[in-house]
Amino acid sequence: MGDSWLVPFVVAVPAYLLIGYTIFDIVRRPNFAIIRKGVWIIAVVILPVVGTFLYLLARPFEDPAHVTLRGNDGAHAIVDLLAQHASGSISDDEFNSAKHRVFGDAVAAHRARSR
Amino acid sequence: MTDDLPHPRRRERFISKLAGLLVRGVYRRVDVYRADDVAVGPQLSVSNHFGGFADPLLLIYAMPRVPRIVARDVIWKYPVVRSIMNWAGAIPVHKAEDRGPGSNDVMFRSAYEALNSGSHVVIFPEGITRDEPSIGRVKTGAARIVLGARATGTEGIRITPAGIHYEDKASLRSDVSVLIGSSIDLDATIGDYVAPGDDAGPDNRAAVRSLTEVIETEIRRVAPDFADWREARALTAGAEILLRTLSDDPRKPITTADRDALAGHLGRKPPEEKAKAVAAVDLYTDQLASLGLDDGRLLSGLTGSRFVWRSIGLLLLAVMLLPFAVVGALINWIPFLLVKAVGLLRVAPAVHSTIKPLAAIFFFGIAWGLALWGVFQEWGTRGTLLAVMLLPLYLGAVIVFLETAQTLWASFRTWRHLHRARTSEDVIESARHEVLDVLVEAL
Repeated sequence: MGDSWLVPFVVAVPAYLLIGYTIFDIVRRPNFAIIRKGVWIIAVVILPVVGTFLYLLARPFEDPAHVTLRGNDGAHAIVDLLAQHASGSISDDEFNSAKHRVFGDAVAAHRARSR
Repeated sequence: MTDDLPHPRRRERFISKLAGLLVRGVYRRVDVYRADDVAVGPQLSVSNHFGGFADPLLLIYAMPRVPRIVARDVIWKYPVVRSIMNWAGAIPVHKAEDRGPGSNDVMFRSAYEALNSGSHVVIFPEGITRDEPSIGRVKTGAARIVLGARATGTEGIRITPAGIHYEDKASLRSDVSVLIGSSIDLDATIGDYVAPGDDAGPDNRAAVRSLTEVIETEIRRVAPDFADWREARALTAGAEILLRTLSDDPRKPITTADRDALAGHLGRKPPEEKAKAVAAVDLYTDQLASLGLDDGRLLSGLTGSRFVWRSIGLLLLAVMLLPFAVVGALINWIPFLLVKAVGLLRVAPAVHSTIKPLAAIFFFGIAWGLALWGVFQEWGTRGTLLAVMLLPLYLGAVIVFLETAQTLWASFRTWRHLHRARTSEDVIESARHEVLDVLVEAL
């Protein structure tokens, strides 16, 4: 089995992608001291398999609520508006005019696009 | 029973990591929206109960602080389960029918103690899992627990409503969202439930009743609460259409937490407005379906160079993934078929959502364990560590490959349909505008 090129290919490509991703993740991770980043990168470079494994094991999950909100854009505005309306911090009239403003623009843009 | 500190920090981290791994493995996407981030002090979270075993796992994943789950004490009868429940800090409540004074103390003593020590406790106040997309009768347990804990000296209790929305309870790799609402400060609002001078304990029936009503309202605000499944599906699709219209980039996936919050809001509208909205959405989605389309793909363009380039990109992706997808398929096809077979059992959807994740963990666990054992025999510890990391990637390659192939096939079908009937695109666009008009009016 080891003679064929297929096994190394199927193992090596994802392995290098994973190690590359791990280094990328160490560099980009926020709230992570620069010294720790350096130590982890050296560990991954010297011991690619063990270093990557330990890093992924030790890495905490991101806060799911944070992940969700990061994916939002104009679409989230209406949900915020509904929450403000529900909690009473904006009145019915304010809500209705804001709603029509938000959707008026978007619907007009959508109609223009679809023509 | 439980020790004094059921959640030392290490164990808490481990529990949340385990729940995160399971949840991310079983569901394709889990979106979480939190209206506030209470993470200290005594807190009782109240949630709808839709998915059996999956609900507590999702709440552990979604909450900023690992909660202790309230469960019926009969579960503690089974030896292995008992140790797991104690280890995870679950709280046994005695579910004898409540009769006579003092019974609150017998039933809920362990829940009082947990709140007294400043823990975060989760209860499913409906008591049993439901198969309808609505909230059942909320029982008085939650109200009696917080009033009882307050009467025994716990200050600053907060009650947090949570709603779990399953796109499809019975299938693996579906989308889930968890909406967590604003907390109620019990001390600040106690005057709403208890007349001045009255006893504010769990034996004050009027207080228990009015606090239960408040809890029910709050759960309905964040949990799915529709008249029936048709309405649930149509209003959820409608909410997605609204959000996609607002989004700057129609190709970006819609956050399901936003979608479900908006659908819930539509669900609280008067029946005649809902009926109009459901009719408009159904008409539009039927037309889309006749072309093999969905709203997202309609908006991201059906023809022109962008469509062609996107299809070429997808085709390249599929070709590159193919060898890894083949490896993944070789490892995973047996456990996959076994989980499918479990899915054929004729049981209620809520039961499915309990046994399917368990079956998946069991069968995939065995298959992967065998694969790892083989690798260990051949390549030793380092090879095994590498394999542990690569096995999920191979499975991921299969999933992405299949989804890409599906999208390509759907694009091809749409393209063929549009070539046969040139006018359909305009008909669909006008149906979509109708949906937007009705829904924006209803909001």
